[in-house]
Amino acid sequence: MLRSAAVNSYPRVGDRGGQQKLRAAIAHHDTGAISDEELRAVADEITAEVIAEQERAGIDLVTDGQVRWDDSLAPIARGLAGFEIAGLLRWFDTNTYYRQPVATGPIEWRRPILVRDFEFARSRATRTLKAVVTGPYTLAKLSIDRHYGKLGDFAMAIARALRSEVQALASAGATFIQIDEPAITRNKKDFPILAEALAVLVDGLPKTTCTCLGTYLGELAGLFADVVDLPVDVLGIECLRRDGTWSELRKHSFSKGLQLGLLDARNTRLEDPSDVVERLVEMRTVLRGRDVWIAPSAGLEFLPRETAFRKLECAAEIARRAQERFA
Amino acid sequence: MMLPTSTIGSFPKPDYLRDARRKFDRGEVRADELRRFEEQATRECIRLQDEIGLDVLVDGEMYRGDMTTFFAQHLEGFGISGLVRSYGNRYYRKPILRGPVRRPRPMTVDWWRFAQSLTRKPMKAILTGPYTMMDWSFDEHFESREAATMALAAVIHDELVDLEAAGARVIQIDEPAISVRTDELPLAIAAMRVVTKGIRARKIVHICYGDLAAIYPKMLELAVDQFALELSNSDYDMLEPFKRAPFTKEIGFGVLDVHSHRVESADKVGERLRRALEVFPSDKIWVNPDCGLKTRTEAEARGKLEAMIQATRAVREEIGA
Repeated sequence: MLRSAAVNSYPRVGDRGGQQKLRAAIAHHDTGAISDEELRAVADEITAEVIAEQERAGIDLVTDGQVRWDDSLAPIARGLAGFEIAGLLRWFDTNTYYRQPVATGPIEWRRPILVRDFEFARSRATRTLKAVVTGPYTLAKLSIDRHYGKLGDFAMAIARALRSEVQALASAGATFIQIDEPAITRNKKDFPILAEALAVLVDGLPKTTCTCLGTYLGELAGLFADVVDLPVDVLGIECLRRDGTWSELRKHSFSKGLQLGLLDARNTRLEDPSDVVERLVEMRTVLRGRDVWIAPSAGLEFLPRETAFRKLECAAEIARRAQERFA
Repeated sequence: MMLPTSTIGSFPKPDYLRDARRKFDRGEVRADELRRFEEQATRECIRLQDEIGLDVLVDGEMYRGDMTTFFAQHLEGFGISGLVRSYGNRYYRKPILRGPVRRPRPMTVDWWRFAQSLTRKPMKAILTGPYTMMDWSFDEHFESREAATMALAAVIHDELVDLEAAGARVIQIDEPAISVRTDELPLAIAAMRVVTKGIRARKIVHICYGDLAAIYPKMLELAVDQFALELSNSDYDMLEPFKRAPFTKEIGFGVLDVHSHRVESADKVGERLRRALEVFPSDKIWVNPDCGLKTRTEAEARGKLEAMIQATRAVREEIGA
């Protein structure tokens, strides 16, 4: 079955009237002019708005747009004990930045981090709402470790802590949980660390929970033979190029679902849906009979909002047309 | 003079200019009115630098918003996107390459002339480099990143030629994106060769906030005379690689952390500068902040630069310069 999915983030501001509300609220919250509750109310409103927008684009598997996240690491790190947040660093090779977490003590889970916001988002979605958690390997790799000494030990400690979080999300009704591990695409030698941490993270989740490894901002080419054995149900992969991971799909036998990042989340140029449909048809022997989601190559928050919407519309159209061709 | 002091380019915009820019965006202020505010702010910025005692001045970039968008607005072939997030709660409009790139007229020469007319000190001209322009733009036109970069290099070269003809003796090309994708360093080097070809002015490249160690020493092949680098923010981690492979060019040594509100003491800045002297010959060092000062308050910018000047004077005395 071919469907469409958002990866994680969605633009929280836009150029149309009223689309600056969250930006203004955050600025007012920073100066103390509005309370935490008032900011949350605005964030809730924008969450509902971006969910509705994804659904209007025709997306089957939507997210909360991560509109409350200032970057991909800090919201998780802040919620765990043992982390502090330090200076700005470039997010991979993008022109955007994140605040680097610093582990200063044992990493422990104290209370749910994302559950309240997940429950709110789910109450506003009419399609399946994907929960997204930044994975233990990427968190460890991009943070400063002043406590554990070894990347593997650090990642495992985070995995044990976040295991409670994914369990809490599952208990709260998350049926599709994506674990984001973008850092692996640029550090393939670390794969054993990711594999070990991921196994701990998803251990004990109910069988009904669909788990997905989210990778983006780089390809998995060269690693595909290994990732197909990971204990997740779906592999989220960037495949903008024909010669990268895409060409490896045929070479391996695997039963997992695929979330295919076929639309460039880093460029405003809109893909021609017909071209992408043809690519999918060429790959039909691999894709048929499998759960496949057509998606952007990464989160969309660094595109202008209208372009982000059109990319999602494009993903939905491709999924629909390819499904017809497969039938 | 030994250890010349300079800055990387941008200064904080005064409130009246921010206000005027906002109103201009809403159509409440005319272009000529905005220009008057920009000129006023430029005058004040240059007076400030003269008062503090900097050696090589900048115009403060009062008439620029984002460092890529400004040039995109002055080149044909570019459009400007809707708002996109930079980080945190900051947003900007990003350039979009939509067609062949052409420079209908000089982009910064008038401003350079105006700024130079306000001081006897040398005025540095500052441009954003082709690799960064490419990397920080959306691209709906070119077949490849190489094609886009080289097309941009050609028009930026023309700007350098005009700046030099106008009298600019120090030209800085900002290429912060260079330190991000090491696999594309050869492209950045090829582009810089085009940009600076035949230019006799002192050519500086400014690189910041990336992995310098990953591109060193290959980066020395960039066709420039000086590297102005962000160093204090990373606590001078880069000095070790510089010791291992000889640094063959001048260094613009970053001694002020521009992302910190804290105004460094002159002693602290002096300590940092003395570390430069352990690695580079004293006649190859320029002293500057890590990066542009536009995110600091006016008071912070002034305080930091005063500490930098005081520290540089003290160190000059120590080394008998």
